[in-house]
Amino acid sequence: MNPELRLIAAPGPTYAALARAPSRIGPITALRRPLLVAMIIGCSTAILATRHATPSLVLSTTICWSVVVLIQIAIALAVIAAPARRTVGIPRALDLFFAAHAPWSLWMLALIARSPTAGERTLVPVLVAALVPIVLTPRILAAFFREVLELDPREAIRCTIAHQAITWSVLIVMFGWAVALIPRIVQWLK
Amino acid sequence: MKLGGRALAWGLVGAGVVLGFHAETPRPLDPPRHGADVVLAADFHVHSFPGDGALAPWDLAVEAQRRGLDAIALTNHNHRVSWSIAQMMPFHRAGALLIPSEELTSAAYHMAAVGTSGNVPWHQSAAAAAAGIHDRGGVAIAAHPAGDDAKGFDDAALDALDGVEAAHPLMYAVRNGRRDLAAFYERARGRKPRIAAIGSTDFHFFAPVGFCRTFVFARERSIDGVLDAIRRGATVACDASGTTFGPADLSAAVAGACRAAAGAPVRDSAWTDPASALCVWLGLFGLVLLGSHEAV
Repeated sequence: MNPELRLIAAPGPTYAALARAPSRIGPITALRRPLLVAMIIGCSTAILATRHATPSLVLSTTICWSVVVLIQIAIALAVIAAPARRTVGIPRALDLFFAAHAPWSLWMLALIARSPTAGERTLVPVLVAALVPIVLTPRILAAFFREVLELDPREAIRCTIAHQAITWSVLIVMFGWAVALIPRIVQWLK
Repeated sequence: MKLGGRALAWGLVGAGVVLGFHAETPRPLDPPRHGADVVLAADFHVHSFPGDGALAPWDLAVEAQRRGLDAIALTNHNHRVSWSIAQMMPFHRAGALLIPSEELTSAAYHMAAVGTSGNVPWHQSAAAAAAGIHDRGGVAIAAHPAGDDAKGFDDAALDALDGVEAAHPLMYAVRNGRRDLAAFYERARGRKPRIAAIGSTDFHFFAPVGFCRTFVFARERSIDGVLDAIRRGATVACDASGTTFGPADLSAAVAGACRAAAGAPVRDSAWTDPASALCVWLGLFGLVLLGSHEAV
């Protein structure tokens, strides 16, 4: 089984093995996993919205939605930079950090397979399915902080909570701006 | 073995994208005529990136044309950032006419401000918002006026509206959606018999744009021509089942076109469309399953 899928099943031992394995990851090669994630998001968006994939469409959606990956990189660097410098180095830490994205990548590909339409009666199954990566990701990240960045278990949990809090806060602010959340909340309170 | 698997997965992604080449630039539309008018198909409620829409305006323009639409309105919630970005882009791709717009999203109503020259404040009454839209040269359309989103439309607001979404996906997605939209449309027609019947998709992330659409009887194929037709009430709303809403004479003229467009099928559809998506999906799925080259 590949490392990304093994992380889902057994994050601790897998990250411990990956951290021990010899690696020559530089600043450029550290971007291979983030780039794959950007491509998965871009292609998924293109296919969900149009049901096909053309070169310019895939390129455009991948560039547009890579903002999500850039935000993830910025948040990750803010949390992992200091401990990464004294352990595996920042490029390798970033590379291994993005190995934790597999649950969300699989969820997006499952969403394409489900192929909702504009007149969909309910998206509840899609949202319920998102609980899987929502639950799995903190578990994998805690193992990342513990095994790759060599933080003690309590500190690893603290970093995981900080990372998830920042990520979800940014997401809520972006989502709130996009959907005009404030008037909707006022409407709901009425 | 694993290296070969990854190469195959990348090959599938590449093959999928190459298969999509033929749909890169859809065939230009040739709108039919009805007397002195040209009959345009439009979707006046489309969300775009950046915002809560999947596609950037230039991609939406191409996709809309592929779905047989002549014009779309970019209606993000309370902002027009995507329109501003589209204006700054150095390239202009082919596709449907893009109309600068926004969806005014307040606690009591949602209103599409179509063809405006600038932002309209959303924290005001629906009647005042419609007046603000008119001041900026646009038309005011009640967006999905059902349930709580219809409460802000008092009689003054109905008098100020130019159009009403009579066809919208919530007809299919929400219990009583069809009944509520029909009731609101009748109420608006009671005060303003020639109010424009609008069919919109409220497109966000899931295909197809043009699921519900509006047939516009315009004097010319331009933003001004479209807005003028809405003001005159020269429109017919068309839902995804092929049912029309609007003036009987105009509805009769586009009944066949509405049935043909029901659910927004792709024009010039070919086996390569689903094949391209399937190849890309299989390739990406393979890349996630096979993972990196690292042995653990």
